[in-house]
Amino acid sequence: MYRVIGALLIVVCTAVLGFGGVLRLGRRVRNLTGLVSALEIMKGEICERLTPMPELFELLAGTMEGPVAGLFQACGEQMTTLGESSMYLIWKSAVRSAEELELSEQEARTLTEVGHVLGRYDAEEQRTAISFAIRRMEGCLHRAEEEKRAQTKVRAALGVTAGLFVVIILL
Amino acid sequence: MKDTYYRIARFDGAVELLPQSIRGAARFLDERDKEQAEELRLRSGHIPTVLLPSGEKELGGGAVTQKELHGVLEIASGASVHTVRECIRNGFVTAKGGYRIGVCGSAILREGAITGFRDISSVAIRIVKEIRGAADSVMDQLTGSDGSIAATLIVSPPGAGKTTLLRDIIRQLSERGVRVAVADERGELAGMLGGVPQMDIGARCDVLDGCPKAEAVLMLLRAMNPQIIAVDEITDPRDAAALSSAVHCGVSLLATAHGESIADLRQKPLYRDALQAGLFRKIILIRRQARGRAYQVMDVEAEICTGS
Repeated sequence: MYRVIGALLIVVCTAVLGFGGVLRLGRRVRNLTGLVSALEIMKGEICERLTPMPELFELLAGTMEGPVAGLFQACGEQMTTLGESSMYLIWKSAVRSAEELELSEQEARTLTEVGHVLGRYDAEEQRTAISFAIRRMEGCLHRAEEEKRAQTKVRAALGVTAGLFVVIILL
Repeated sequence: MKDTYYRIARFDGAVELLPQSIRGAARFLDERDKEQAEELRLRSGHIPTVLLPSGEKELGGGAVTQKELHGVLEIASGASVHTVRECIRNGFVTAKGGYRIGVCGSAILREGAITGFRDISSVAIRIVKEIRGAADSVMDQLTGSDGSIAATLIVSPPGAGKTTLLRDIIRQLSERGVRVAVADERGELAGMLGGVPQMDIGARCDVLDGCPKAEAVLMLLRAMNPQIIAVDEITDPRDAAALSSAVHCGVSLLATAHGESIADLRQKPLYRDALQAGLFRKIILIRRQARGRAYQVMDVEAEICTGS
């Protein structure tokens, strides 16, 4: 009886590990989708409505969800430190601290680079830079979706199979 | 004492617009200078100064850098240069609290119009102060027996308090329930930020800012059904023509003009013509005194038309 329970526990644990990886891939896709949407909104607000950055961060913190909203909330809260810090440093620090976004180094770098132009140049110059960032982030999103598609079944199956393999060896 | 606290608080507010590296030097200024400070001036490569009634005084610290000058604009605009680009083209930015930051540097010209500055060489942070009650002594003289307000031109040399007086007249009229429309081209009267006046101009004011006065007056006339239109500093014949249209629509005017005296006004065709055309019924002449200002209210008919 104990053996069966033990075997089941091992299979469940390894399966959870496998499905955890699958969930992480799902979260990454969700976060990247949110970031691309947020960048689109930023572009529209900056270029069409000339929205000031503090108002824009507040808007995005309220509109977006989860870690993406957290990124803009952190930026908004730090805007009071202008003078001690710069817009670029505020943005960079918020991106680098947003671990829940689960960004790769390339994705984080792409986002950080947008900070060089945010609020610093004319709307049209910002449009160019944000559009470029959107294209790159969309590329990252496609790769994350591909990875999710390819890895979901593999990781789930690997989790269960690894459990079964351990059980067989132990028995 | 309350006035002293207010003036020092206004100075401290202006210091918040400086980059961290310069704030320390400004905070060490003695309280009397803080109270009297009119502007903070930053020039690239020079020690920052404060403008006092007696002249400019160095704040100490190091020479101002380009980065620090750009930092002032970043703070003043809330890191949103795109939002204030039109203002920068006109040479100034209005910051939270109604502070006006004048910008100077190497202009970028496109098709003959300034589109911005490549390098900023200096900025001047003007410490605009509201003086509630500044107009107390003149309000009765501007009000007719039927409660109507005489169209009034406020005249003084630069820096003598025309805008401060005009703002308080607007506030007092607005609080009485009069609909006042303000054409605030340079943002000095209301100091609009995010749609909210940073200065107290009363609850019944409609403000159109950042728009050339002549166009703003006509827009306000069409859109807001004002009883009074207020404008700061008439300098162009088109302003006078727009004000003339307003008068013909039955709207009263409040305006300011640079001038030393009535004789000075008579010599300037723009003002002479406006007064002779009957755009204004009263003139307030402001004179600086050892302590405060003196306001002299005169009838246009007696002073200009008969004098010419």
